[in-house]
Amino acid sequence: MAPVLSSLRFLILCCGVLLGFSAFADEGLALAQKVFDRPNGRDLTTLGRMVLTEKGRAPRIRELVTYRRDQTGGETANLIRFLDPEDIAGTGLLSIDKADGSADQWLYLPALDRVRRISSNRKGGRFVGSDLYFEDLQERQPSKDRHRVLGKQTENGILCEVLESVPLDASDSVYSKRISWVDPATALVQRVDYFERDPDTPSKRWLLRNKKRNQGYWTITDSRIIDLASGHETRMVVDVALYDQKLPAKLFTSQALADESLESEFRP
Amino acid sequence: MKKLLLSASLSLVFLPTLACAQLPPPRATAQDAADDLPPPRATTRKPQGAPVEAAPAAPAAQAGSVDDLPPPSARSRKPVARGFQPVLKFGVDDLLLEAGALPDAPEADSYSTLRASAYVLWQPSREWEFRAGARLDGMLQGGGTADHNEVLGDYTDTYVRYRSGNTRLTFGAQSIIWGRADEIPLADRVSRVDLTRFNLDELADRRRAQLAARWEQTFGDYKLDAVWLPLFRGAQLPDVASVWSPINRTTSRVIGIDPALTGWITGATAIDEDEHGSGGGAVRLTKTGEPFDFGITVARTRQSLPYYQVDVLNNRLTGVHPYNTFVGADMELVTGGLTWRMEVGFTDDVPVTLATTAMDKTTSLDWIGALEFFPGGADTRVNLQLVAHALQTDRSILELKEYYGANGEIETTFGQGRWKAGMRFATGFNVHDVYLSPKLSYVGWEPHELYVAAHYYDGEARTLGGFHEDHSMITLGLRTRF
Repeated sequence: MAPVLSSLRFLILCCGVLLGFSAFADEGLALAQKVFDRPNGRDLTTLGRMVLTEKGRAPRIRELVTYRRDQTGGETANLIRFLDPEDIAGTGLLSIDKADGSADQWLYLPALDRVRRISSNRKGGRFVGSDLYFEDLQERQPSKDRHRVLGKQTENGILCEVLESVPLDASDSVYSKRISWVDPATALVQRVDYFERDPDTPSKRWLLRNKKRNQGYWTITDSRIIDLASGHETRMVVDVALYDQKLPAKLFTSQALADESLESEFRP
Repeated sequence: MKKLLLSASLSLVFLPTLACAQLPPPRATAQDAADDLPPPRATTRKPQGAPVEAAPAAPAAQAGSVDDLPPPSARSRKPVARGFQPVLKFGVDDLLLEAGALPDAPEADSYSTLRASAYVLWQPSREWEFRAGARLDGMLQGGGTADHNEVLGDYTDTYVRYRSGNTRLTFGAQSIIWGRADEIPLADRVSRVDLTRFNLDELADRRRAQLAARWEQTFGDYKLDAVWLPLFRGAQLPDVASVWSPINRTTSRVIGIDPALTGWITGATAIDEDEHGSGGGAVRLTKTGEPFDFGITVARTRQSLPYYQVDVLNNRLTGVHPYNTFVGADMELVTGGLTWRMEVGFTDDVPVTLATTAMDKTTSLDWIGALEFFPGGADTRVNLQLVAHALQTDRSILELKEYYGANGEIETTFGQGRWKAGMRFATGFNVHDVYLSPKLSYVGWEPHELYVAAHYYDGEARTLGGFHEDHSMITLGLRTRF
């Protein structure tokens, strides 16, 4: 009888542990979904800057305007146009993010006046030499990761939920793991640690520096991403954000990508 | 049983503690450095460089602030986009200063270039746009048997453009480069080639503006592009004394022609160009979107690259540009992280040279298959292209009847994007023909680019690499725009 009881006890213990993990996993997915679903308008236009900083060197600044529009069928369309510096001014990137997580991307090269289809699988490539990877530009579906809540911790002066997200398919992300500090009141992420090869040491860190409410929506107006190995960092500043401008679908076509004049009147 | 339940509950209680033990350390305060950003561009309405309003005070670091705002609602004041604003822009859109050494060339030891172009663009209304541009090209070749220098002035894109809805009409000098492949797109039938620096530059810099009337009509994912060239201009050729001339009077060779039959070419050989008449017209239909992008091109045009008609009796070469008809198709798709590009084309009335040196015409079939990918999904880009060119003639001609080869480019960035390294290459499969061009650039001093590059040519007779095998060059350059 004793071995039976012992086995039963072990089984219940395992179930308890599994239930416990399951509860945290559900809580984690719910938190990730809350972050993903944070209201950010039907469309958004921003005018901003990326500042690439390296110790002992002059910062390099890129000015850009971005447009985002929620399309039908769960698609999201994004258009990015560089305004400065001169050597990349006019370059545009159009991305249509599908509901299934895939994306179609086109790059406009002003010198050739040509729209080129490019692979969206270039996840680990640096975006215009910054510390942002191309993957960081895409909104990642919560269903692509396994989530769990690690606990609570004060970050940026706010008691945050700490969320660990691990890709279900390791080949689907350049990161092996992400840990996010989420403000439960606003669903705004205050910090993200990105892990690549070393599962214990983050390779990059994203920090929220300032936020602002525009037209009722929380906008991250100042943030930075730091390459922890080199100390190089990229600061992202949103100078103007416009929500719900009823951006037309036509703005997210190869025609508008190739003709800056069609797009420029929607700028702030 | 009670013990069992206690064990189970304990395991649940213990879990958060386990999880909390994995929490990373909190943010270090030192990470929030002082705000040293320059003032923002408050709105795109202001021209760049104009004084902007005082920058808003640097926002206090959020740490410690009380965030007690209610949940978002759509009730706030609603700012709007700027709408159309007249545009007046001007600047130098290209400045190149390059010094080159030619270690093997009998004609010269050095070849240096100064190239500058400026423009002004005015868009007074949503519909109308006016642009004017000019360029200056200076070359200095010295230290050999053919010292030479020249300065050329030319216009760049200078046009009037009208937009309305999905229609765009442009009339004036324009650079129009059709096609999908890099380096030698087959659908590129209406551009004007600039051969002054042969292939030292990338494709966009190897083309010049020429007079054209262009109608672009978009309907959904489709675009119709029609071009008429009312006044033909041949390719911008280097002076015959230049090392990049397609006719080398020092070695008595013409590019692409068997040198055994061009020995009569000397310094006294007269070289003419026949550019009269119009350039013809072309139509291109493209579609962008699912499941792939494609294009169809039909052109009845004269190519700007000359075919040299030989007149041995009068010691004369005449560059002619006969009309030919081109029908081509191209497509572009992404699958499995790879971008595939393909072009296929049929051209009639391609001029060729018979063994008697008389001109004949034949048809040609051309194909390009390209593959672009980023190894490891990182910062290195590889573009590989296979090319095939076949002249459909049974007659004996001085040109290569078939050419199969590969070309492409590998480029990468390092040093946080401050450095770029790349290699352009081309090689023949059925003939010995090699071009290699490694390049190292420093681009951290934006928007300037400082570079050192090499161009290596080698090959057999009738190939491009063979024609320029003595012109391998090492260059040091500065390129910028402002």
